[in-house]
Amino acid sequence: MKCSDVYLHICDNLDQRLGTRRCREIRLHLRVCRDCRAYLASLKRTVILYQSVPSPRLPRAAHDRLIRVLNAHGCFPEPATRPRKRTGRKRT
Amino acid sequence: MSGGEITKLAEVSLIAAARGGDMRAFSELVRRYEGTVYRYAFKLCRDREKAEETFQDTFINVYRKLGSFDGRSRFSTWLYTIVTNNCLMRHRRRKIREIEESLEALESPETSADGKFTHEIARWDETPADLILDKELRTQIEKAIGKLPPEYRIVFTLRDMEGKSTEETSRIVGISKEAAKSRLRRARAFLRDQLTPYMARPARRQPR
Repeated sequence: MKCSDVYLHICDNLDQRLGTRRCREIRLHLRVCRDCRAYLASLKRTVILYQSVPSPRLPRAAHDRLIRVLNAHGCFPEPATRPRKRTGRKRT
Repeated sequence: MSGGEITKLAEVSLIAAARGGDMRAFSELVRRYEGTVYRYAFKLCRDREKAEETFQDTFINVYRKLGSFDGRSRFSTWLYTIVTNNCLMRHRRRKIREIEESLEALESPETSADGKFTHEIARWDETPADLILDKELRTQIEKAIGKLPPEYRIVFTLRDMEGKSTEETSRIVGISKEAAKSRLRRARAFLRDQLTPYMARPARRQPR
């Protein structure tokens, strides 16, 4: 197996756990090739870095606007809203 | 059926009730999936306003097309497909394709006749990712993923951010498994290259 082959197939299985013949060949190649080991390590870290960027939570206002839009399309017979968190204040 | 009973319904029963016109069941489906749909739409659109438009369009489509959902795929797969198509439609209206060529080039990095890389592969620092995710790097990450053409960003997001299998990804996007693998390979390589200036140690030539 050559570096170019590793490049083409390494993405299928970044952790190389599969027992296929190709995976075994990749593992053997990685033992002797520093460049491919470095490439694999940087690819794994790339994925981890992108995963570590947090995604925004659904804003309450966006939920409310969705409900209004769906109501306008006749999806709900009555206003549907998410229950608000209890604040502990009594109604007067 | 009461509101309390609705929230306990299994997904299959819920979908069947919603398809039968039960508005409370549809409302419960919205409640269960709105967070997932919004986050996925944001990851694809990279913009709050566009994400919200996609999010709204998705649930309008779900309402209109629920009758055609045949249950052969998982409901979440069907939802992801709708979000993906809405995102692609939005993009096609804008027609941004500046860096498609540079991704094509990543398909075959330079190798010598014996198949070895002709350039040394940069070594990245081994600092744990959570310690180095400073503001500058985070900005770079956001920029890089924003540069990825949607066809690649979708596959990268589904496989590496949402944890979908190659098979489910190919089903959601409507491409072959081989095409999904190829797009993932190019997307990862592109994103890696974008971060290399921030992550790599100074190159050291190695004897071959």
